[in-house]
Amino acid sequence: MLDPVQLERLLARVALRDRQAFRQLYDACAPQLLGVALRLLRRRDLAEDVLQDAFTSVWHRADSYRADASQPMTWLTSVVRNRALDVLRSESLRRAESLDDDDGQGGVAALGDDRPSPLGLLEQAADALHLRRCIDDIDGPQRQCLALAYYHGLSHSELAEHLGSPIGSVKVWLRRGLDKLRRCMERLA
Amino acid sequence: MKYDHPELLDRLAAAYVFGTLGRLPRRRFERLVRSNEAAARALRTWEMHGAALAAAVPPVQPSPAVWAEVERRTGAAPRPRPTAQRRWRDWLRPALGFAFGLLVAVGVVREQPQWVLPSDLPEHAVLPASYVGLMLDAAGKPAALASSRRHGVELSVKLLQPLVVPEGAEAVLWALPKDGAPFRLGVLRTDAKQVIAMAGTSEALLAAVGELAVSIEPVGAAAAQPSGGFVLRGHCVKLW
Repeated sequence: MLDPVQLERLLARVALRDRQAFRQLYDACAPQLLGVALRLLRRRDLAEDVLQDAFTSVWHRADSYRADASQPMTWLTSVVRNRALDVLRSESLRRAESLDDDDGQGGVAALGDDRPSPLGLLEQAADALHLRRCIDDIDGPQRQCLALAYYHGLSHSELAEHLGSPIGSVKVWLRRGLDKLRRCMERLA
Repeated sequence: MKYDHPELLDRLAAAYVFGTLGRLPRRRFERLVRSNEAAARALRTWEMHGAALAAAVPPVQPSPAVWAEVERRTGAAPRPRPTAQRRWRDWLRPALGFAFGLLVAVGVVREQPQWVLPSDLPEHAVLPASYVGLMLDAAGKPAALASSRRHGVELSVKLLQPLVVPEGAEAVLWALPKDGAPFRLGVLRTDAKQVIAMAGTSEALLAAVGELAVSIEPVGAAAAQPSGGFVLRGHCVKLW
């Protein structure tokens, strides 16, 4: 992965219609972004469609990227996630996969690999950010809601069904979890 | 709903980034972000938090077809295999354009023969024009008609609308061969009827010309190529 400054330069060149820079940007970022989309959509064809849409949009909208507002990977991740969430929430898509069990292993195993569960990913992210202790302090159900919502894109009702809890509890867990996550993240700034 | 509460904006932005807002609230929040700077700031903060979490996701190599499709959709690569329908359309468009131009030119000559033939000569004394070009203005209205006999060295031009030429500029008439660069036929005056002396016979000059056009050039520049866009343009056909 290239560093943010290199990615910024590539994006600036893409805004000037530099095809070589576009290819370099794709090579540098597409695998990470496909990983994110695949987590949410769980179907490779849909995830690759989202990646195509996202990069087509990046080519046309690169001049709207503002380096002072967000880092390149943050911007690209948002483009991909927003598109993937739209697909996920569209009525035409019914989840083919049954959702995973409590520890979040089943649904991932269905992809045929041994990648970490949503909770495992949250822990890895916390380690990378040196926020492990702060995030470990978030209550179990809240942490689980955060991980399942962010990495797997579960909605309130899906979370309620998955966790076997009333939807009201899920909403409270999520809100409290997000409040605590925000306080953890503020330590980074 | 009041959106001036920082806490509310923060929660909406968090729910948006985590994907737990429903479809309609998502659209509402996107609209809000476009008009409300505080909402946009809250969104950027949460997008940054979200991207930090996304970095833990293991990468997955996309299949080569993804890049090929991106290239095609951004205009770098042609469609892999043009369909038969597409090839037909590609061929049909210029053919239809040519047929339309021919039809209009023939129609004009039939309806208004005095535009093409000098009216002061007895009818039996003239051969009808062999080459006829009908130039249209930007709005597609007929603006000038040019005609020449087959072996004539004169091109008769009739302006069907007044030709507007700015001070210090002149209207230059060009021939546009089907294959090759435009070449200059002469300068058009603003007279309704005029004759341009060509450098050779119409048969020699115009046989391979598909279109005639007029551009505005600086006076005396004797431009060898049109410098800008054409103000008039239209098909030129050989009638017999």
